[in-house]
Amino acid sequence: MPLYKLILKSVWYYRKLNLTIVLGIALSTAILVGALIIGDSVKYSLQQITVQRLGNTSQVITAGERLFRQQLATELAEKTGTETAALLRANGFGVINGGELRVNQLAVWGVDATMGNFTNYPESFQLQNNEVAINENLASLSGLKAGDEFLLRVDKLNTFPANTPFVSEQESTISFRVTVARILKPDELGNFNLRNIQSAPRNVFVNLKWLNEQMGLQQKANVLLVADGVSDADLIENLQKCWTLDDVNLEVRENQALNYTELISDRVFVEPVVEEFCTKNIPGSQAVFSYFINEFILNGRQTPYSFVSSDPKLSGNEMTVSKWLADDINVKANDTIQLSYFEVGPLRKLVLKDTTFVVNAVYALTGEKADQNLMPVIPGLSDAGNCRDWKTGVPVDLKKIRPQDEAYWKQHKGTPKAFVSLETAQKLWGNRFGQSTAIRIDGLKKVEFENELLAGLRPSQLGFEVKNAKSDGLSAASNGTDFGGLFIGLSFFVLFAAVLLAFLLFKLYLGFRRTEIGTLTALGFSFRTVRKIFVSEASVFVFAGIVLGIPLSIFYNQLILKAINSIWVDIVRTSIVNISIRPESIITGCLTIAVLSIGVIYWILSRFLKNEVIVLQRKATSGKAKSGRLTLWIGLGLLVVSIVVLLMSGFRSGEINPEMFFISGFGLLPALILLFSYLLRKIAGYESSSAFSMRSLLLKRLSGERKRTVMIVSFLSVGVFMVVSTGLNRKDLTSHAELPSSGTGGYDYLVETTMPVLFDVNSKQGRDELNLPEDAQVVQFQSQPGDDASCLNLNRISRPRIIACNPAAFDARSAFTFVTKTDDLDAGHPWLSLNKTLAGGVIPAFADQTVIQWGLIKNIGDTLIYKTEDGHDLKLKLIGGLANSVFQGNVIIADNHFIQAFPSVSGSNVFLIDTANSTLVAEDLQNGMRNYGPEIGKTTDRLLNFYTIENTYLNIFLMLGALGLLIGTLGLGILIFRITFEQIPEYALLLSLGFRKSVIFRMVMNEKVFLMTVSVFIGLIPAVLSALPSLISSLYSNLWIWLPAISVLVIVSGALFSFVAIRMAFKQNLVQALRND
Amino acid sequence: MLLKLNQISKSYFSGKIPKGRVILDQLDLEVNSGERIAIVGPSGSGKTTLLNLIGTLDRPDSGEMVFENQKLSGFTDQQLAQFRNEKIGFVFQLHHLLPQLTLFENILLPTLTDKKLQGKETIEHAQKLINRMGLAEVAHQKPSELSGGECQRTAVARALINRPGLILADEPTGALDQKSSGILADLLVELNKEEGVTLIVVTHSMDLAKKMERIYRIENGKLKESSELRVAGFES
Repeated sequence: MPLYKLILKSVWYYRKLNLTIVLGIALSTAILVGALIIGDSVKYSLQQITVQRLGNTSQVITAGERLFRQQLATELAEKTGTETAALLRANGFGVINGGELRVNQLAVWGVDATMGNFTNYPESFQLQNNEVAINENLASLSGLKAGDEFLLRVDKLNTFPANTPFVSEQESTISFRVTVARILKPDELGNFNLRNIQSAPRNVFVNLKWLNEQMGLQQKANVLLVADGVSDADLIENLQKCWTLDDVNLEVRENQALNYTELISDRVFVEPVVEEFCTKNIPGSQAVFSYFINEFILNGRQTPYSFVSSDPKLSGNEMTVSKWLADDINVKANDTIQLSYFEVGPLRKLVLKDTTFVVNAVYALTGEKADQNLMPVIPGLSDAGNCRDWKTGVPVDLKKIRPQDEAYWKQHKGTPKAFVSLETAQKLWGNRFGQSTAIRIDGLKKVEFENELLAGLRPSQLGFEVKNAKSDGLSAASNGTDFGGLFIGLSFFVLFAAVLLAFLLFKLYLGFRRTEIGTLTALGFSFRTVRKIFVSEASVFVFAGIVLGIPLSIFYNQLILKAINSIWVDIVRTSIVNISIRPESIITGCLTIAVLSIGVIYWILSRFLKNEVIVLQRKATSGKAKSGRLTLWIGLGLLVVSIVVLLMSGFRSGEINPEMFFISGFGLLPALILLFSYLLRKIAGYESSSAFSMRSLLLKRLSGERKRTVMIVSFLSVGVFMVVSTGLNRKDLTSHAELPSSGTGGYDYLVETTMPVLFDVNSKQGRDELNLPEDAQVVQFQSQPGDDASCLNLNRISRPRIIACNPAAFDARSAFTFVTKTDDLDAGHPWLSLNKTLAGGVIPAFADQTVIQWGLIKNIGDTLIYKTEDGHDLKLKLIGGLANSVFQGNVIIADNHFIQAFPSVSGSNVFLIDTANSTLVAEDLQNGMRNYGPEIGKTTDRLLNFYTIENTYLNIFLMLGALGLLIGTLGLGILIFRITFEQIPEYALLLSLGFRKSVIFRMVMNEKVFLMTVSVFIGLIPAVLSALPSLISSLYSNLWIWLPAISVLVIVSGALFSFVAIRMAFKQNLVQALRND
Repeated sequence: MLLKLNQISKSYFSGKIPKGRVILDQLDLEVNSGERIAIVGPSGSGKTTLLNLIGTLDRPDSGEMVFENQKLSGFTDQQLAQFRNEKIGFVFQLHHLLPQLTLFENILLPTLTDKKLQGKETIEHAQKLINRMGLAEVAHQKPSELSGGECQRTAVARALINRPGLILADEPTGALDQKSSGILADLLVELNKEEGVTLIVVTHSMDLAKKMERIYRIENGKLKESSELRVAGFES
């Protein structure tokens, strides 16, 4: 008979006995493959969401805060031969049912029919004036349906930044009534979003032309979509060919009378990059700087509100004044004239300053000196018919305006009344927006100037950016949170339980076939052949288990996905996670289980056969048993070291210390198990000279099977430890949130406005504007949009949102806590470190350590690279990692660095508010900030929002852990069943000795319950110690319920399984077991 | 009369034989106190079944068993357990010692059923039995460290710890070598003679059987006393 026949016959004969092994392997396969499929499903769903949110979009062109021509899209389409669409994106909020409901943070998209080319439903974007299409998410949030009307308020976009000096901030928003024409589904591009995030936006699509009209714009756009078919390089090349100065808000105008051509900007100031290009590359370029000053003062006489311009011929504090001014304040050559002006800082902070000039000469207001073009184009000012109509961004005291001032304005507009040197003008009035208001060249033709500029400048220098939205999005989705690995980790204990159970059963199975092994050996089978036979047999069962496990894995996966889409939705923030099965994952999972199982079986078998030989050899000897002293010393050593380390690390209240978990789990727990093992060894060797009781018998029975007992206790106690310690470490940050060192920084509210607040809210005017009490402390942040890198986003993020503030406020109150830091961080004043500029112009930055580690997959000290508005690299070095804070998802830098990098970003839209002792509540804030579309949340709620995810993971771990324990106890039940059946001859003997069945039953039950109880205690002691900091802290809502719950689960289920097993064993004919044959 | 079996029948039922397989068929047996009886017969003839019935580990389908003038058929399971504990000692072919206990503890095992049995007197009695069995030197060792003969003698001592009137031995020498078998057989006879304990032995061993006063052969479910066997020996 060939060997394979023996193997197959054995497999068939022992099929029932091995059913439990097959089930164990099936369960392991189901869990492992299921977890991998979960990973695939989440990844696939994120990719699907990316495809849905982008439609046919391949690349996106944006230009920061800048508006460009819609026509650029058409021209690019013609050049590249691919579909394009121009969009106008603005922030907005909706007022529904007369103000009953306000929905903030709306993404308002001005679209035209070309947007239809990016979806399979082109009619979706055919919108009439006043018509909007909204996405399902917004419809569900607002209750809006087709035909409903609501008030839409949007950020009024301009060709100049809202914070541009002297430009009025009035009418920074516009509102209009709109009717919902249709509600767009995700596959109709309803969830169109350029951010890499899986959660649905709140989209409102309006007619592009109409939106432009409402904003007073001429066919402008700020987002350009490009469909597949053109490479980034081609796109950039064609962009260079297609762009015009209008796309970068520049204009070249000729003054034939004065024979010059000049470059001016819609943004008032010519950007430094343009000025630098002109002065370096176009011969004859001359920067001009004109500034609006408050007063000329001389000997008590004043001339209010005038423009002063630069004259390259002047130097130092020389000034030439017009005849008109000289007459007005009676100034003459060599007089020292005082000049007062506003210095405009960030957030429209105005600082009244004055300076003096020495009058060099008085000129006649004719010729080039009477050039009205010297006045920059300032909306609201330069276009005003008279002084009283000025709408400026600085306070103007109309009482100071005299009739002669009105007359001058009428005749000369803002023609400068005086000239100073360019250097002085730039030094006094230069700002982040620019160092000149015009670039002039004598004699150069307009077209030539334009061509020089368009050929020499690169679009990227003026904020144009080509993003590969689809590939970046798909990459972010593919490299995002690895749910496969996560669920393998979360299911670890279930996996561990299932695998251990299978191997335990296999070991028992070998014991059952011990005689057979002896027979084979006696018949001359070699050690290797016996091993081969048994490994082959086991492989068949492993294979059967794996085959059975595959459908089970799909079932397990569906269960988990159902939970993810419902009760565990917090961890994915989307309800559209769909199953995706990749054959590679199934093969990987199955192969892993197969290799692992057969490997372990091989190892168990080798050890077993080796031991069998040793047993045979020892049979006749009465060798002295091992004393177990090594076990004792290792156990005691581990115990002492663990306790000492635990005491030394200190039970600092409220600080979860991973070391404590490590020490408890890897020190104390094994110490207790080893000591228990030693105790059993001692009990086994102990013999009372007098009393021998039922209790002694119980202990002797347990100690007699020491290895098996220790294995069961180890298995259960590890499970109890893991589940209980996890349950005890749940955080609750609603208490102690008032402390500055907490994750709230001691601030009560976090507000994110839809529209930026352009002023300083800590100023009196700012407080009045927002109805903030005197003692409320506010930190306001500017922000540069980026992806959300918090745990709410499953995508892999490389450039999170940058927020910037004045760090002094946080320094003053030593706000927040740093968990990681580099040498660049000043330990005494960590927040002030943000003001530094590091070597190579690198900017210091902070982020939550969780964001650095998990969101960005970076380390402290790493550098993130962004682009500044003028296309340079902005390198942000992460010098400090914050303990879990409200900033999760963002990178924080100092405002002074921010305004240098992003001068066009106007205002603030993130605020931290400490209400101090006032009774300010969310409703007051809502009322005060209502025009800015605020999303107001308590800082504690925000933290809880983040912790919801962490706690959901903990819940999953706990549920799966408890499931693992249940499987463990079920396995234990099977084990007990086996052991009980193995011990039937013992029961029969006791029966023959006159023990009543009930006594034997009670004895065996007591034995099992004792085992469970010991396991629970061995697991509970280190679990409670590891959680001690959280137990004595009110920062954590310890799930004390887990202590009794897990204890009861283990003891009761174990007792139940034991009860059933013993009952079944006792139903057997016990006497039969005593038969001699 | 110590024991009387009257018209005892026992059948085993299985799916293949609906009416059951008759093992013992209206079997009669009378045993006087202090007697030594051997029961022989081929494998499967019902020897162990008979012994289990006598030892009250099993109940007959019909017939009556009387022990010291008490009808056992009316006993509850609890009463039977107590009866076994007090009146009967078992010795099996395999010693069935608990591997985790020492020989001394194994001998004391039957005393655990009743706290009254766990006194000093019991310990002394156990000690005596150990000495009697020649186990004094190995008394505190575990079964795995001893020979088969020593284990079996421990099993005999365990059977005697509660001073039963009847020892039921099922192939007590079946797993022993010739020398150990001889020692054990002699020991059983000595106990019978010196302590007056009644001995019923089921065996295939001619040597052991010949040391008994009466030999019964079990055939077709009935017992047949055989004097020929005592003279001519027998083969299993």
